[in-house]
Amino acid sequence: MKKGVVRKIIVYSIYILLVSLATFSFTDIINYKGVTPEYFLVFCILIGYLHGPSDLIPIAIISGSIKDMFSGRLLGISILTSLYIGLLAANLFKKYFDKNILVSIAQVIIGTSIYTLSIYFSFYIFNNINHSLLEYLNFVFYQRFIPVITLNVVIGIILYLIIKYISPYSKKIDIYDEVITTKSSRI
Amino acid sequence: MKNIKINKIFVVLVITFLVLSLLVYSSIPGSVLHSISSPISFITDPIYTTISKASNNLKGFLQSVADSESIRKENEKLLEENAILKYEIKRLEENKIRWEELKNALNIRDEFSDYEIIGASVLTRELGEWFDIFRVSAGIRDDVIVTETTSYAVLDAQMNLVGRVISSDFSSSKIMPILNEGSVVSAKVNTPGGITMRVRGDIILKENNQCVVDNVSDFSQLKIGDEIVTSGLGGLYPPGIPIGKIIDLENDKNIIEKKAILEVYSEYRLLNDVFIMKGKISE
Repeated sequence: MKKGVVRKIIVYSIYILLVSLATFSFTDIINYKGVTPEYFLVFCILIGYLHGPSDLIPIAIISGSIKDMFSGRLLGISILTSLYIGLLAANLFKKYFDKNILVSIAQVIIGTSIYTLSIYFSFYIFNNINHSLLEYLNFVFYQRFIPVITLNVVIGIILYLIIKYISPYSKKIDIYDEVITTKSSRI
Repeated sequence: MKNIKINKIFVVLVITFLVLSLLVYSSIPGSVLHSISSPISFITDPIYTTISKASNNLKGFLQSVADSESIRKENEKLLEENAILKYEIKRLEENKIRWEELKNALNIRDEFSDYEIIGASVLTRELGEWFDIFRVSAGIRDDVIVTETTSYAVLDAQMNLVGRVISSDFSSSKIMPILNEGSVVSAKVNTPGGITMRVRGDIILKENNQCVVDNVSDFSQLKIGDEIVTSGLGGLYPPGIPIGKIIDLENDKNIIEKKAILEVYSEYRLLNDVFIMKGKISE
């Protein structure tokens, strides 16, 4: 079992390093009019969906801390958003569709929508916006919502394949987890 | 099974409470929490910088292969211009010596001679709303220390205003650009006795490198093309730093609070190097 824990730590560390590099070093490469993919958010959604809350909680704390430390105005916003959106992904549809790529994409779309809309809603409430509501909604929908969803779906597919085929769990443990999941869903 | 679920919910609630406390404490300017990134940024910044440089070099190489002919022509043109400029520099060197003599004689001060200017390179860029801060490579080790009453203005190479330092750790600082909707700058028209105003960031206008100008002391005096500089009245930014120019006036008589649109000089998204103005303590 110890070997499994070591493998998990190493693989997750590599994931976090790659996601951090993609987020902070390649912002100029993948962006649409200043909109970049939310690598950390997509990563947490997929970890929550594919490996459950037990793996998600420490990953959300670590990745959220990194994002806040390097790009955030306040410490904690990323941690909370990654955690709760990841937990939603961990519980939504999981019982009926386990490790399904289409459902992963749906999770990414739902999670990104909640994240994006809550950010812009909070902006509207807490900042003095100099534009009409219609103009603001138009901007948010066409200049932010659609591009970020599209970029996140693309990144989500790539990350899904990486997480699925370079899994933090060896195949034996994966099968064990599936058996446990099947048994527990019958309880 | 129910116990495991309750335990997980309890863990999530505890984490939420701790993170909310962290959030509140980190909102205090100069909070110690901002320094906890010091050891991590000390290790990771060189890695990010190396990889950014490598990706920029690769991009540059591919671009140069694609544009080789136009680069060759541009290079020839630049060599000619360079020769002309070298001659101009030689000619102006003598003027510079005369200027220094006059300055000493008449006790004229350079605009920002009271300020120590620290150069820094951009480490990480903004990632979207709520994460629209960029980091630079000057921190506590360079005496860039932010407290509740002290912050520093940040300029580009042309000495135009970029933003201000909001927090720093050992080797880096976070900069809030003036385009950010949370940013407010007290400004004036760059003429003797120029009218005063407030320059604010705007979430939609920042895409076009523009800000909103409001609280104008005498709107009828404001014209398109007016250069706007910091007034120094807010206490945070020194006076006289160029911000941008007015490009549009909202002159509708039905609107009580009239506004204008300002185009900012500095293109902070393209910046690789900035300058932090240290020296005078604000407030």
